[in-house]
Amino acid sequence: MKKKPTISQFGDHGILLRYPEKIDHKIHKALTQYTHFLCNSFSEIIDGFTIAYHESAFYLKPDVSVDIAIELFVRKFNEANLLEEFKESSTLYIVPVCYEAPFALDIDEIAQSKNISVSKIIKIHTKPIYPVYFIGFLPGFPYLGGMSKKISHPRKASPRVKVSSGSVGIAGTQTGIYSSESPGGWNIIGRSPLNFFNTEIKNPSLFKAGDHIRFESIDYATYKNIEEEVKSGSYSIQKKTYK
Amino acid sequence: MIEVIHPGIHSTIQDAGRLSYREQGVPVSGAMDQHAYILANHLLQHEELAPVIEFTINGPTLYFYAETFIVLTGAEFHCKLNGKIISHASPIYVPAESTLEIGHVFKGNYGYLGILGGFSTEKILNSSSFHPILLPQAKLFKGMHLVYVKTKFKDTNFNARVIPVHDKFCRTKMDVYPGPDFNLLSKEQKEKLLNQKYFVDPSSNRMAIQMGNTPEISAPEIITAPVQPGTVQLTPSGQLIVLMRDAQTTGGYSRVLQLTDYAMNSLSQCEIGEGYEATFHLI
Repeated sequence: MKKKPTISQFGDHGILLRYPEKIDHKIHKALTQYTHFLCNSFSEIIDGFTIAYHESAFYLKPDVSVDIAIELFVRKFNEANLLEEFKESSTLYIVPVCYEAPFALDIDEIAQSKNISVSKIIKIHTKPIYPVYFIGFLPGFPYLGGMSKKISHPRKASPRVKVSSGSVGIAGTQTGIYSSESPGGWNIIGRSPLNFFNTEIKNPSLFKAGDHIRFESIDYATYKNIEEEVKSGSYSIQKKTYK
Repeated sequence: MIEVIHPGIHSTIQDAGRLSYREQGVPVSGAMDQHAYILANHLLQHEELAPVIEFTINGPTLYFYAETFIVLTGAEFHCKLNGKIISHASPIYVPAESTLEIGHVFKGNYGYLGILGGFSTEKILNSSSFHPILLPQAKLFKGMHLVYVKTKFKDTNFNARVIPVHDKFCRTKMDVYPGPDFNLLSKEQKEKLLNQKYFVDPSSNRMAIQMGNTPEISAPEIITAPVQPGTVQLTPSGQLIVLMRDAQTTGGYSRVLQLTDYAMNSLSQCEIGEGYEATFHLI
C-alpha cells in the first residue's frame, strides 16, 4: 500500500485519515501504521485516537488548532517513507474457547441451518489466524477479519437483553468476543474464560488493532480451571510474535 | 462528606471524560454540557477542573456533614438549601448539617452541582465520569457517601454571579461541519437536512439524542468507521441521531454532520418535545 490516506478535519478537534471504503487487510495495515506513526510523532498534541477498517480519527488537545495540526501531519507524511522505516511486528494470541453447553447458545441452530455438524463448525472457527482490525462497540471488543463464509449466519432477529462477558459470536461474516456483559444480537457459539478488558492495568484492552488471534477449543473442565486461574491472577495468555 | 438522601432520577459524577482510551473502545463520557461543567469549576476558582454531580429532570437531595461552598450551573432546577430558595450560577455557602434539595427542572435538561475542592470519587482510566459499562453502580443511590477534597475558598468575593445564556435553552441554531459521509447525500437531500426544523425526541439520553420531525431522507449503512460525541448519523430508515458523551467510538451509520462543541452543549440543554425548534447551520 504505497498510497497515503487523505487527511481532513473532523469536528472542532478531530482529524480523519481516510482510505477508500473497503475492508481490506492491506489498507488496514497501512492505515494502522500511518496512525501509529503520527501518534508517536505528535503525542504532545494528541489526546486520543480511533482506528477502524479504512479510517482513523485523531482527537487533538483542546487548545491545538486543527488547521496547523493538519499542516504538520501533511509535512510529516511527505518526508516519511513509512513502510520501509516503520516495521511493526504483531502479536498472535491463542484464545481458549469452550464451544459446549451452557455457553454455545446458538451453535446447534447454525449447524442445522448450514447442514453441517457442530464439530465441523468448531473446526472451521478454530482454523484461521484472525487479524484484529480494531476495538469498538464495547471497551475491548475486537473486530476480527477472515472468518470462513461456511459458518456465516445473520444476526438474531431480536437481540438478547444480556450476553455474558467472554461470549464468542457470529454476525453475518464477522466473528467477535463480547468483552463485557451487554445486550447483543450476535449468534453465540461459545465462551472464553479470559478477561478481555481490565481497568486495573495500563492498557485495559487485551487486544489492539494490528494484533492477531487464533481460537482454541477447550472442554468445560478446562474452562473452569482457566476461569479460576484468571480470577487468582495466575493465568497468562499464550502469545507469540507474528511476522 | 455528603450523604445522598434521595438520588434523583439519574444523577452521576461527571468530568471532562476519558479522552485517551478511545482506540480501546472506551466511550468518552463526561458532562453533557461541558460549558456548564467548566463554569462550575471557574466559579469555585478551581485551578484544575474537578468532578461535579450531573442531574436531570429531578435532582438529588443531599445532606452536608461539614460546611463548604457549592455552585449550581447548567439547567435550572427548583433548589432549596435548608428550606430556602438559592440562586443559580453563584457560589453559595453551605453550613454544616445542611440539606440541599434539588427538585424539578424548569429550564434546560442537565444541571450541575460543583463543590469547593471537587468530588474525589474513584477514578477509572483517569476519569471520575460514571459510565454503565465501567461501573456496576453507575448512578447515585440512596445512602451513598460522596467525598470531596477539603480546601479553602480562595476569593472572599463569592458573590460573583454569572447570568446564564438563556437563548441556548430554547431556540437552538446548531453550528455543524459537514460529516465524513455528507457527500453520500444528493444536493436535494443536503438541502432538506439543513433546512428542516427539528425537535429533541424524548427517547434521548446520554448516549444519543434522537431528532424529531426528520425530513424524508435516508442514507446507506457504511463500513464501520470512527465516530465521536457530536457526530450526526442518518440511518437507512431515515432516523437522525446525534451521538452524545456516552456513545461508542465507532459506528456503521452514515455520518452526515458533525456538531461543534458549542452546538453539542446547547443541544444537550434544548427543551425536549415538539414545539421547540432546532436547525443545523453549516459553518
